[in-house]
Amino acid sequence: MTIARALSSFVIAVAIASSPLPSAAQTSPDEPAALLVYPYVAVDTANGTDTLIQLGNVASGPVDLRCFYENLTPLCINGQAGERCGPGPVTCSGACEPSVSRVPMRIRVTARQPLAWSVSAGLQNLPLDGVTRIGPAGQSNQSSEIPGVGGGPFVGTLRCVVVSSDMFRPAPDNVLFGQATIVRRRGAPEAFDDDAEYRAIGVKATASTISRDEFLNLGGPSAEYAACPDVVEFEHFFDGASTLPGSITPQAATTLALTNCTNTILSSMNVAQFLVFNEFAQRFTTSTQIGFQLVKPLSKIDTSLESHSIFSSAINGTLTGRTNIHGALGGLHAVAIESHGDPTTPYEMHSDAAELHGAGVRLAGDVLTYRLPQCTADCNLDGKVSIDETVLAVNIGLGNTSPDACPPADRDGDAKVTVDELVAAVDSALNGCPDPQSPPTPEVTPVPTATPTRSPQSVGPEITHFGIATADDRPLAADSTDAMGRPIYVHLFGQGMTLIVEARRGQSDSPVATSTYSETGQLPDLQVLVSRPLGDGIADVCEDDGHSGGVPAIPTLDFQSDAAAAAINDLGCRAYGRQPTVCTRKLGVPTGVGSVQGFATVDSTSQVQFCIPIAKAWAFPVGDTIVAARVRDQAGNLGPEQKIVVRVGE
Amino acid sequence: MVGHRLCVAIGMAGVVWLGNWTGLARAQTTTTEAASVLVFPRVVVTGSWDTIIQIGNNANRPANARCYYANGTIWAPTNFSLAFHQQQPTHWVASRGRALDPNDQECGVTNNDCDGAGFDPGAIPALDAPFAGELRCIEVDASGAPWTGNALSGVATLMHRTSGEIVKYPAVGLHGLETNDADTSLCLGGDPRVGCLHGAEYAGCPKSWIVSHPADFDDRSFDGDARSTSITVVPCSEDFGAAMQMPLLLQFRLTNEFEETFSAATTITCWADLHLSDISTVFQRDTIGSNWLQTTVRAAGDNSSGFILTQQSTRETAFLATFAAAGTVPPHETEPLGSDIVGLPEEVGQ
Repeated sequence: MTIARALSSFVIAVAIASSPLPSAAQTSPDEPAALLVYPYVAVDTANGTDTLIQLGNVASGPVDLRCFYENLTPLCINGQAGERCGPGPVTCSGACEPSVSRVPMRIRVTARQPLAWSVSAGLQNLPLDGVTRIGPAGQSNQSSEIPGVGGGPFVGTLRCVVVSSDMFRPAPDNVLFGQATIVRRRGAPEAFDDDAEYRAIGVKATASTISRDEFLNLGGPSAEYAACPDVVEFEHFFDGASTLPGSITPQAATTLALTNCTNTILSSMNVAQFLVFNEFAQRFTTSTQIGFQLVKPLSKIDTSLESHSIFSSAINGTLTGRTNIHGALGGLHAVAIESHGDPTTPYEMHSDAAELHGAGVRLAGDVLTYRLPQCTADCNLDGKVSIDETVLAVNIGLGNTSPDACPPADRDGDAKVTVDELVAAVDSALNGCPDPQSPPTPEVTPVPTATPTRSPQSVGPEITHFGIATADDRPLAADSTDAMGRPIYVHLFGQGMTLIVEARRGQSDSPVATSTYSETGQLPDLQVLVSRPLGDGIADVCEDDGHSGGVPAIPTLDFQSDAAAAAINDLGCRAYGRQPTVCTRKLGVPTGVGSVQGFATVDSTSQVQFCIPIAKAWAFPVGDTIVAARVRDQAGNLGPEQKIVVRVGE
Repeated sequence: MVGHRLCVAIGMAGVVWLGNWTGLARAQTTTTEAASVLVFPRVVVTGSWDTIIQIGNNANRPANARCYYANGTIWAPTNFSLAFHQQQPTHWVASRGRALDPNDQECGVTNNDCDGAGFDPGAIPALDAPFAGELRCIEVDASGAPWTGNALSGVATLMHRTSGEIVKYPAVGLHGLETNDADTSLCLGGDPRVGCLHGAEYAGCPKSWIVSHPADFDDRSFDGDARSTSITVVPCSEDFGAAMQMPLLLQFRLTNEFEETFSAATTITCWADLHLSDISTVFQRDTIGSNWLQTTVRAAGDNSSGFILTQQSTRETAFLATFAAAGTVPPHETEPLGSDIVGLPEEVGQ
């Protein structure tokens, strides 16, 4: 291959990359980011449970953070003394209701410095305290405050945002990473130790500057940070699954921790929709409401009777499954803690944790309220201004103290505290800080959809979309049209794509029929012809059950020709499942009949989608191949045919 | 073919430089999105440990994969095929494999001996102990050629047979790109070059990983704990049809809590399971004077292979001999990325 040919390939590759598909970044723990989310932290020192936080800065200079724990510990209302709602076994005989409060922190992490602390104790002795010890470049953790939450019980989340040195403007520096370890330890005589570790979820800043307000936009039209995934999903053991074949124990049990991407100081509400698949690819569904956080064993999500749960191995019939979770009202951050052991002694089950995968991005975006509204002289960021803080602001204004001692006193960030700022500080001390506001509602740009029209000539089904999708099921836009108005799809190679045909009822008003292959050689309901042979083009129909060999051409694209039925069946037998399925990934809002989480028809009015993968053994030849398609309805009426051009580039 | 384990890093020479092409080749490995190549860096079958592999198809269509076990010490690649229904998960225990058995009993209230319940994705061979190495699964089309469908995700669970301790880590995924010519050379990252005329077909492997971990120490004799961290490193270049080798020099830059930096280095020739203290005493608390470390592990040289890394931490308590372990795949730096080739046996893609 010459360099010129390679450059030609490059041009084609860029053309593919420019297709109109969502390309927003997604949250991930794989790379350093500007916002970290630890979806689950727990403390219950009486039962030997604590969470160890690790946090690192990959930058060659210091970075300032604003962090906060959300204390979401459920309280036992109307229960007996000593009863509890977790973490661990729930003993409350009354009602468990969530408490909501925030514990703010400010942290300065020096260059490439690792910091670690237990959530119960915090970090009281800063490694570089600025007094007895400073870093090589004179840096320290001096302005940091990392309090502990005490012995608990405590359940909640931790979020950290990179901010500018004035502690108010979020900074787009993707330099943070972290881990959390849920540590359980019990001493003699029944010693037990267990660590479950997961990585903090990183949310990368995507904008070069981020607004100074208290709202962080995760994805969406005004994105400042990466979007949360549209769907979170994971492979897991079903609860009660015996993981050592042939024995009753150990058994698996998974606790799921979900927290909302959209989160205000005032409220956070979502509905999690679960789609569960077992190893027979059978599908089960359930949904549940989420407040700020959901922390539950899988088999208690849908029922209080664990043995009746769709997450139970005995109900699902297999040991493992995969679950997709879609937040109906906003994105989700998720961690699963999987335990194995004897379920009758849950504390002694061994566990480890993992983050969930993501699929797609939430086009509408999410909004995180990361701090209270700006309140002049609220030095410790607790939403109140005390007399001490007012005095400190005055001392900064008099030049007796450095502005670094209380950045919020210097509201405009000019390294001075002016009279106006002192007046504002006193006003805040006397009258309180502004109330938190609800975040702005993300604006969703509607995805344009075709207006249903019916051709007076159509009788059978109308083809609503005919095109190709990438190998990973993303529909592509046509690159151009030819002189006859046929869409042209350009692809670098002849394989690695999927033909997509969508249809809806035509004038006959009969439902679209769905067969793609007829074993008796009759014409199926989906009829597709190609003008040039695919692969070796041999005439054998559906050889090797459609897993090898090519497809013959019908150069005239005449559906009535003698060889047409065999050619149609030879291509149709390779359609996914030989029955229609929605294989294309969702580009916008959910659309179309048969859509499932993350997948939707390309045209919102489509009633049936057919997908035919183009594998290497039946690849398109180099150059232009015309593809013709038509669809039949259940009454036997054929709809009008449509054509596209597949241009394989070299 | 059985012999000494040899690794490969081919395709480094004769690079065709086409300027600052920063397009599709910049994608990187992922542990949180479905991908076209899955790497399970650490699969162990010994008298003490076994490994449970879980893989799922997240597409709403069938998916196929070709998988390869590669032992870290003995060159005896084992391969097998998987076929998934839409959205189907599957699993197997590495020491048992998974047979094609239509008579597998479903799990039920009275039956939890149901390891094979579900659609069998293919005949998966059992691994003989001792085995310590990697598993790679490559998504293929219905005719067996590489297919960048980005439909696979997975997780591995290492289970200690006697204590019941478990260590989980996600499979590392390589996102497939549209520039895949479906031949038997998988081009991971990089620009157009010999053997990869269209440049990257898959995401590039990182050349720099960031590990946050405690310093190693052993206070058990003082009635305290012992802590240690090990890493498993898998060079991304691999040839499952032949055997070649190219050493990979790994450089370690450690920063302690006091912002003091230290360094260490080691060379590997293929899959390696490394206890940090065995690399250098600088990983020990008594040497580095700090409880916590941030260690950047980087492949030296401009043209070196990218690699995949997973970490495992272990905590042991005094006298009582209880231990806790946890695993994860640490974050990696955005750049630089490796320029690697994975060679598949010729039967693939024919």
